[in-house]
Amino acid sequence: MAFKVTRRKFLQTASIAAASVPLSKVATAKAGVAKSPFTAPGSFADTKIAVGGICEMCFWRCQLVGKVRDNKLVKLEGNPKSIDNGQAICARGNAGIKLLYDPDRLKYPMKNVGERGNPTWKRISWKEALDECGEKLNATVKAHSAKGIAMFPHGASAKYPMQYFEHTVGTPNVSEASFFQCRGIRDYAWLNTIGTGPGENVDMANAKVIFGLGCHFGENVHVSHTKRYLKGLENGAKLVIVDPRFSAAAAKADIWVKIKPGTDTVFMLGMMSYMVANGKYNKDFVEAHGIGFDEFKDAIKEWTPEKASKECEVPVAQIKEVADLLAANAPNVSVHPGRFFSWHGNDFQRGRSLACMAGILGAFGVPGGFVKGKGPGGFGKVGWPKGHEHHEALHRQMGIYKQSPSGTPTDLIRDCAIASKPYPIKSCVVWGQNPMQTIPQQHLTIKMLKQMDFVMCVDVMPTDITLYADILLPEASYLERFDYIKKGTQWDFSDTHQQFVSARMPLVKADFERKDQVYIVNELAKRMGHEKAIPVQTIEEMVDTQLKPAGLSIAKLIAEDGIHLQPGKDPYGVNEDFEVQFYNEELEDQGYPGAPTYIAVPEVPKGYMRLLAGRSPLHTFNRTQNNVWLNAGMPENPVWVNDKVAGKLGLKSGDKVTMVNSEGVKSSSNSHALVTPGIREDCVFMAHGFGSKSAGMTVGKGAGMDDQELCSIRAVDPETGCNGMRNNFVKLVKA
Amino acid sequence: MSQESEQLSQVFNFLAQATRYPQAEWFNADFLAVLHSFLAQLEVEADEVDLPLEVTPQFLEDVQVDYTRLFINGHPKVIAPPYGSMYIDGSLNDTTADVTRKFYREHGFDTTTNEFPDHLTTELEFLSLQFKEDEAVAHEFIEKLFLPWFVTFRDIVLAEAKTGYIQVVIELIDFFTKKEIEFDQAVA
Repeated sequence: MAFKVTRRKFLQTASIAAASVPLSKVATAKAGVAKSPFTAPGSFADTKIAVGGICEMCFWRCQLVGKVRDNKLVKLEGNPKSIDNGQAICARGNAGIKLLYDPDRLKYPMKNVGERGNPTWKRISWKEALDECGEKLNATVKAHSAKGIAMFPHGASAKYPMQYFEHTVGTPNVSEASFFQCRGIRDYAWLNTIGTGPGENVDMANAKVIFGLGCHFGENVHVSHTKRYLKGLENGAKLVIVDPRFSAAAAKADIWVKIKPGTDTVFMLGMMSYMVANGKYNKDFVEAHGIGFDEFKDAIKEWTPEKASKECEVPVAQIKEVADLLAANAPNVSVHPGRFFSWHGNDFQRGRSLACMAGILGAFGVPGGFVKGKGPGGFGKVGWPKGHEHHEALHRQMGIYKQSPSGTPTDLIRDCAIASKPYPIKSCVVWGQNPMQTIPQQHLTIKMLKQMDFVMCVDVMPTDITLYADILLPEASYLERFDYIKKGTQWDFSDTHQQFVSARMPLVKADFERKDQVYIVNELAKRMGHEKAIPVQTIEEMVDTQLKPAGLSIAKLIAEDGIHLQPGKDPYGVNEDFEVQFYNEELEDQGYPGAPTYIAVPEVPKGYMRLLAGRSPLHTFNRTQNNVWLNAGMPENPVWVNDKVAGKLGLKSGDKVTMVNSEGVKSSSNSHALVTPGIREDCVFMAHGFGSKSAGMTVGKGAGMDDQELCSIRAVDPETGCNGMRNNFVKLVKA
Repeated sequence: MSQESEQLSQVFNFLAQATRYPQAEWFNADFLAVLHSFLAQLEVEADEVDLPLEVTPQFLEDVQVDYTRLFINGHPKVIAPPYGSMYIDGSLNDTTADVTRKFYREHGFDTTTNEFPDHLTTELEFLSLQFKEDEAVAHEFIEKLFLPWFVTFRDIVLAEAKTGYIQVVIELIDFFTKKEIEFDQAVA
């Protein structure tokens, strides 16, 4: 484009004012710059401390303060008043600032005017976006009833919308990755053994032995949890780590059990049968609190250390050595329940075996054992009421997965949607979850999404799943909103007993047009005919409603520097009626084994290795992949491969590699090999969450390899319907 | 205030408006008529610009899609975030944003919305106001804080924009902010 007049000449002609419509008349938007008092050159804005931050770079949720200069967050630190994480936060916590100001973050509501999977985005107003969401969801409900909607929620902000869709709208097709692809199996295994979910409530700081089965302490950094673990080691606790890989925890262990993947339950049964047969268990505790111990004893006796050894490839002597160590230090043993638990499709039994091991050691309510802190109580609840529609979940209709909680196992929703059997599922709401990387068999997830009439996503980042959205809504991040109430006790039970209460508060206001979950869901509810059911008008009201019965409020917490402290209670001891269900008749009645039972996993096909995945200290799966600081610290996920295997393949550390699985699925990206004797020959390991495909994640795209892409063999836990993700087999290929 | 300063103030106010997200309330026939008139006064040949005379719904959507892709969130990725910090510091709301805000304040202005101070529209608005106050300061801002990033941004947008409208607006901004010496050479 050529300008044939000079700028000076143009400006001298005064022709602008003479134009048919003056320039000033069409420049009508509200000014973003205005006069303000002069600031003397050289002045700096004060740094203020914003309190009430609660981290969500991972789900441990440490307490934060933010240093804020001129409404800009410049530094995150642990809240000095915290008796949980204290002043410490991890690398991911520090890097929260780079999430806050990530240029790839979602900024405005957008509509996809292209196709799902290959979107063309158009910024639209919140009103347009919400109107369309309401209209499309209403259309689905009208045509197919509420069960025509599927929802995939994750994170603190997803609780309010999840309850809306599940309770008030009335769809049972809600599936949380944190349950069905993570810890749900563990929770229900322990619930069926001791009547409560375990969390990670083991008093490691005061243990004589810490026993971790596949626990990646130090690779999964949850600050107060890690403090307990390290304090225990400082105090002289012995550490036993069972893992096919020489993990960070194994490197600190007194005993590393290099187990064959998938046979963990056998190892546990081998130890327990040996301990029971030789009277090396806590007889007093078992007598006082054990249920079905004789049946349990009878059921596991076949698994002598010798028989177990053949299956799990752990030497008999080592099985006995670990069992003796645990027995000698009972009851002050931390039998860690684990966290990411969905491994092989036989995991409920593994969870049961861990809980039963804690039972035969009597490791409940004692220093070092399983101890739930006695935190503050008396909080209010904010909930969506039950609506008119109620539909039985698919697994209930089918009479399967009887240990699955409310919600529906993910595979069943996906299969139902794809086949439209037993009914169509035509709208999908994704809230803070990236099902592309949480659910195995990605091609089926894509198929499910493509057959939908409508897909809406709410997120902070343009993750892989957002490529399939019709409407994409930008959510305020954890640093920009109120919501989660965090409460608990001091992390070390040997310290003075204290309780704390804190509520997430924004450290800075939300930029652009990002909104919190209460605003978004309430506006949807208004459009879906549920205005009268709205429980709170604002997110601040939600938090204050929860705090009020405890005599607290947002204002009071701010006045107390973000954390309310009060005297605590001694957490030790167990009630007289506390029970350990060594043999659970209810499970037996449901058609499951009453005692922990080993279910064999598929063997590794010749020429392949089992694909294992886990954590890294610098990333929380996929959600931190686009963070420039964390990417700089760990730009990809190295593939751990045994040195002998690598030698045969001609691989050395640092070589670029990719993978193909036994079903012929090839990884779409690559990483580098980490050649080590510290892993068995029959498996490879890499951290989960890498290898994003969305190019909107300009930092994370193609960084490392995505293990989920290679999970094409379905393994489902028969009790809970949760996915097992370690039954896939791969070959390494030089990239 | 000189006539020239008044002219520049109006020009930058118009350009600031033109860099906002196009919406039907203002991105209408009147606006396009002014733009065409403006181009005519600059003696730009009509056949050199790909710009319709009317705002049809399709044209509006095309510009909205292009704006979103270039400046907000795009697939496969956002092309040219319109923030100085992105080109000087490599990230959003970084040092350049702080320095820019400081410049505003030291000259008696500040931002009033939650947009970052180094956003293209905000900087053009500041220039519009500053040309009324002190033309030398406005030129200082262009020299020190605007051009160092705009030149890179301009090249990316001109290479990637799919709609004539966005290309025209960027070329107009370039025309009115170009250093005098470069400008004279370009026109010559």
